[in-house]
Amino acid sequence: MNSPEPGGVPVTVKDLRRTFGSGPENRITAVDGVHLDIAAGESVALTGPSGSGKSTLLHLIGAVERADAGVIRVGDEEITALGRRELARYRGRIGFVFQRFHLLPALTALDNVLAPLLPRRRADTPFDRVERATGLLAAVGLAGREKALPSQLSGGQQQRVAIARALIAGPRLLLADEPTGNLDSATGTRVMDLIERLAAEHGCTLLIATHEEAVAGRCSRVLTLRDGQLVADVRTGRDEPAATSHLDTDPDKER
Amino acid sequence: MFAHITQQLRRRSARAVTLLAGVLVASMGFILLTGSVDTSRLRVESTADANFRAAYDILVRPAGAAGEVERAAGEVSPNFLSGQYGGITLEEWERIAALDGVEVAAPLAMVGNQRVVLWSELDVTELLDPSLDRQLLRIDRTWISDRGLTRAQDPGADYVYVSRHDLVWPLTRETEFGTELVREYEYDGQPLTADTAHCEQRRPVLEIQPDGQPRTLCPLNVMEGLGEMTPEGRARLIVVHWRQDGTFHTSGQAWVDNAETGDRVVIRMPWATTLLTAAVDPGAEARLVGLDEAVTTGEYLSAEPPEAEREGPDEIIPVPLLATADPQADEAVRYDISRVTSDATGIHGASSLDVARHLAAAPHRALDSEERDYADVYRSVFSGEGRAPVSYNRTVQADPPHYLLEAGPLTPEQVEQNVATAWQEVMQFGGTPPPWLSQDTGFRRLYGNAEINLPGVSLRPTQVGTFDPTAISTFSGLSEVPLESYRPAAASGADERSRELLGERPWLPNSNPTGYLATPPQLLTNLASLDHLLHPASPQAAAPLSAVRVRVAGVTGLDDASQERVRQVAERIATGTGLTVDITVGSSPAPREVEVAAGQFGRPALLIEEHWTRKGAAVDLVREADRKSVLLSGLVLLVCALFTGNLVAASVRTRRAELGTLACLGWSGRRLAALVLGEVAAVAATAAVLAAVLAPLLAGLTGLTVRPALVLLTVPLVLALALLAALGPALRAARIGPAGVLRPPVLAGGRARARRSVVALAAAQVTRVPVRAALAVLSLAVGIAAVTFVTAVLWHFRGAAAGTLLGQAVTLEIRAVDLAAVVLTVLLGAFALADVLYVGLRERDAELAVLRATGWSDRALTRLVMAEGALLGAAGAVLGAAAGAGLVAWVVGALPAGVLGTALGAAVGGVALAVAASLFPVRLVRGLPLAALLSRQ
Repeated sequence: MNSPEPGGVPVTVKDLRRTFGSGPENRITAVDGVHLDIAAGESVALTGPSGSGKSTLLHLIGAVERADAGVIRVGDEEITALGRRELARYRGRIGFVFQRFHLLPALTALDNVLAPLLPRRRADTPFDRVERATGLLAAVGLAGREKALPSQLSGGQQQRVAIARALIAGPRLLLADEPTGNLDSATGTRVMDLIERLAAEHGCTLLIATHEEAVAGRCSRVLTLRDGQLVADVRTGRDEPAATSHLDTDPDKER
Repeated sequence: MFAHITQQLRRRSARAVTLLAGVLVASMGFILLTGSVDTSRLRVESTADANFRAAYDILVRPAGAAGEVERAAGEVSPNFLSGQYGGITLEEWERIAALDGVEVAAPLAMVGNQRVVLWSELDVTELLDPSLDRQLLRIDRTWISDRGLTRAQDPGADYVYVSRHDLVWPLTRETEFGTELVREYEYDGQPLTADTAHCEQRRPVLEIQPDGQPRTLCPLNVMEGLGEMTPEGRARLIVVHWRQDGTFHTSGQAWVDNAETGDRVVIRMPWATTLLTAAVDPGAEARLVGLDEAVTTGEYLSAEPPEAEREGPDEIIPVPLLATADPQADEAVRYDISRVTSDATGIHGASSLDVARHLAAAPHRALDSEERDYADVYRSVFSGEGRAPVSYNRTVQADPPHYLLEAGPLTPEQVEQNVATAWQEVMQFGGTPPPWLSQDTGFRRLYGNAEINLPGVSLRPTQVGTFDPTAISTFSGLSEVPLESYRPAAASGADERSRELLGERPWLPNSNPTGYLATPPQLLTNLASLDHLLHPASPQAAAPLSAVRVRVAGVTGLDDASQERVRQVAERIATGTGLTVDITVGSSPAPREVEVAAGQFGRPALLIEEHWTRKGAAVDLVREADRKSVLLSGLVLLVCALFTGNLVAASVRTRRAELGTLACLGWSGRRLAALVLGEVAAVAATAAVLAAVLAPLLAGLTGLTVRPALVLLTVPLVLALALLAALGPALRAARIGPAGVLRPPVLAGGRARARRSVVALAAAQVTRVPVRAALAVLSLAVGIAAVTFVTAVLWHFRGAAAGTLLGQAVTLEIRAVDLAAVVLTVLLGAFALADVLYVGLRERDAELAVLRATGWSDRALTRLVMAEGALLGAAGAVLGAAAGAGLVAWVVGALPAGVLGTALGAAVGGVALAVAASLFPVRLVRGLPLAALLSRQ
C-alpha cells in the first residue's frame, strides 16, 4: 500500500458497534451492528441524516475511533485487532479528507501535504517527497501555491491541499468525511471531481460520508445509514467494479 | 460580574486549579524561604584608613577578651596579648585555618613569665688590700629603670669574704643526679669535723683559724621565716681563698659549679629577671610575619615536638626556644663596692641570720661603683645556642592593667603586691630571689601557676637561635601596625614634665612583670612544647591559645572588595567559633594619655602617651536578613508571575469567541478586562491566603521559621504580582471586540518557510505565540541564571564570592536557604515551561489530532512535543546561563574559565529539565479524542 498502484483494498465490516455516552439516558448508539463489504477500487458514498452514524462509521474505518464490538478488515488487515502502534501505521497508509480541512496553519501548502511523512524515515518512502507533493498540489490545481499558508488560501483551495495531503503516502483507501460540506456548491463540485479523479488515478477504494445527494450520486454505490444501521445499499451503475452488497442490519438488533 | 467570574472559574476549573496550585506553591515557598533568610552577619561600622594594612587582617581572641577601654572606646592597648593567657583551643585554631578564604592563621599562646637568672661579672681584684689576711667587701646593688627615675636599692647585699687562711669546702660526691655537696670535710688528708648546725642545714665553708680550729662561714640568703624579699633573704656571702701563690679560689654560695680558681677575683653577680614566653606555630609565623627571616643566629624553630632524651633515670625534654636578640627593656644595675671596716672575724661561727644582721649593720667605706646594662647581660646569655637558663617548672602570669574610666587621661589601677606569693613556690627549690624591681608599684595582678613537677621528667629549655624583632616584616613602612605581637611597648612623655623626666626618651618596660608596661614575648617556642609548659590540670592546657592572627586570601589592598572579603572571613570565624573577632584592616594608631602613679623607687607620677590602636572596624555580630537570599526567594515569585501571565493569556486566547460574544452583547472593554483581572485576583488571593495559613503550619511541623509580618505582606504582594502579570492579557481582552468571535485562538505566525522535519515543525509551533514562548523561556532562564550563579559561587569561589555591586562591597555566601530558593525557582520555571507547552498543545489539539489521523504515531507526537520543550528549554537555558555567568562577572569583576564551564553545565541541565518537563504535556497528546476534535466545528 505504500506505492500508488492500481486497485484499492477491499473493506469488510462485520457487526460493528460504537456507542457514546454513559447511562441509559445519555447513551447514543452511533453505529449499530453494521455489516459491510466494499470491493477493492469501489467508490462508496455513506449517506444519511445528521447523527445517522455515517461519520462515526468512517472514523471507525479510518481508525480515528475505536469500535466497541465488531470487526473491520481492510485488505488483509484486521483493523479492530490492531494495537496503538499498528493503528498509527495503518492511519499512515490510508488517506483521510476532513470536512474542516484541518491544515496546519503554521505550514505552507507544500509542507502541509508533506506533514504525514515528517516523522517517517526517508527509507520508508521510496520516492522523492517534495517532488511527489509538488506533483499532487499540481494535480489538485494548486501549482505555484506551494508556499502559500492556509490563511492565504480559500476554503476550496485548502480542501484541495487536504486532498493532496491525504494522497501523499499513496493510500489504497481514501476516506472523505463531508469533503464538500464547508464549500459552496461550485467549489464542492470541483473538489468532488478531483477526489473522484485522483482516487481512480491512484487506485484507491473511496469511501465518502456525505449528506449531499449530488456527491453521493457520483459514487458507484450509495449506502444509507439511519440511527446507526445500514438501511439501504444502492448501486448507482456508475463505474465498476461491482461488489457484494449487504442490506442487512444486525438481525438481533431491533431499532 | 462576580457571578460571571465564579461561573468562569467553575467552568474552567482545571486552569483555575493549576493557577491556584502554582501561586500557592510559590507563595508558600516565598514565605518559608524568606523566614530563613536571617543570618548572622558581622557588621562592620567604619571603613579603613588609607595606606594601611596589617600583617594580619583579623585578630581572633577568646570570647570576652576585650578590656574595658576597648569595649568603651574601641581602642586596644599596646601589647594587649601580653596579658592574655589561653582561651582558644587548638581545635578552634585548626578550624579557623581550614576556613575558606583564610590564607594564614597564626596562633599565639602566651605561656607566661619565667624566672631567669642572668649573670654579670664583677672583678674586685684591684679593690683588695694585700695587707690584710681577712677582708670583707660589700657589694650593694641598685636596680635602675625608667630612664633612671627608678633607683631601687636591693636590700640584700653581697659580701665577699677574702681570707688568706686555709679554707675548707665541703666535699663533693658524684651521684646519679650529678655532683652533690656532702656535709663532710677533709683537711690535710684527714677528715675534719665541725659543728655546722647553725647554718640552716646548709653546707658552710670552714676557715681554719690560727689555733687550727675550723670555724664556719655560714651561707646567707636566709630562708627561715623571712622570705626572699628581706635583706637577710637576699644577702650572699662569697668566700674567696687568697692563696699563698697569689691565686684566688672563689666560690659563690657554696655552690660547686661556680667555684673558680684564678688570678682574679671575679664575682658572678646574679641578675634575677623574668622573660615572657609564647608558643607559636613556626610555619604560620613564618608566613605571617616572616619570623624565619628574622633569625640572626642559630636556627629557626621547628614545629616538631621535642624529642625526649634519656639521662640516667631521667627523661629530658628539650624545649626549643628562639630568643629575642633584644629584651626590649630598660633596666640596669649599679654595683657599689665598699669595704666593711669593722672586724671581719665577727662572722666566724655565727648563724646565717646573725651573720646577715651583723654584716648589714657593719660600717663600710665606699671603694668603687660599676654599672651593668640589662641588654648587654641578656645578650651575653642568650647570644647563641644551647641550654637556656630558664625554668618552666613554675610560671607566673600577669593580668592586663585595669583602668579607671574617667574623663581625661586613662588611669591604671594599682594592685597589691603579690610577687612574693606568686613566686613562693619557686623559691622552695633554691635559687635566686625574684627581681627586686618586682617590688615596685604594680599595675598587673600576678598569678603563680601550679608547679609542673613530673617525676622522672626534666624540661631542658634549649635555645635554638635568636631573632631580631626589628627585622620582622610587620615593622616595615606603612604596615607598622599597632596590635603588634612583637612590638616593644614604648611610651613617651605626654607633657613637658614627663618628657623631661624621661630624658626625651621612650619609657620601656623592665623585668617587673607587674609593671605598667609589658614586654612582648621574648622567648618563642613551638606549639608542640605547650604540652610540657602548661600544667595539665590548668584551664589553659585545654585552650592554650591566646590569639589567632589571620591573614585573608585575595586581599589586594584596601579596596571595598578586599575589605568585604575580610569581613566575610571574620564573619565565618565569629559564627563558627563564637570567639572575639576583630578586623585589623583599617586599625590606626591612637595615642592615648595615661597617668601612671608614682613608683615605690623614686619614679614620680608620669603622664605618658601610649601607642594604643583604634580598631579600624567596629564589628558587631548581628542577625539580619541576607538581601541576596531575599532576592533569590523573590525569584520564586517572579517565576510565579510569569506563569500566571501565561495562564491568563492562554485563558484569554481560548475564550476569545466568548469574550467577543460578550463584547457583542454590549460589554465594554474595561468590563472585559475587569472580568479577566477579577478571575486572576480571586484565584491569586485564595492561593495567597491559603499559603499564609498553611505556611506557618508547615513551618511549625518542620521547624522552619516564618516572619509574621512577611506572611501578612505576602498576600498583597502575591495579589499585586498576579494582577500585574494578568494586566497584559486583560488589556488584550479589552481590545477583542465583537470581531473576536470570528478569529481562531492561535494564528499561524511568522513567515512561510519550509518545515521539513519534526524539529522544524516544533520550531514553527513554539514561535506561533511569541509572547508565550518568551514567558516560558524567561521562566526557565530565571531559574538557570540562579543555578549558574549559585553553582559558580559554590564551586569556583568555594561558597562565597566577594565583589562589588553598584559600588557596594558584598559577599555572596551561598547558604542552604539559597539552594532551596534556587531549586524551587528552577522547578517552578520547569513547571511554567510545561504549562506553556500544555496550553500550546491544548490550543492546537485539533491540529495534533490531524497529525495522528494522518499516521503520526505516539512516538512521533512525543518527539514533536519534546522538541518544542527542548527548543524553549535551550533558549531559556542559554539565556539563563549567560545571565548567570554575566552576574558572576559583574559581581566578582572576573569571569574564570571554570564559571563558563559551570554555565555550560547549567545550560545542558536546563535543556534536560525542559525536555523532562515536556513529558507531562505529552500525556495530553496521547489521550486526544481524535474523532471529536476532527469533527469539531
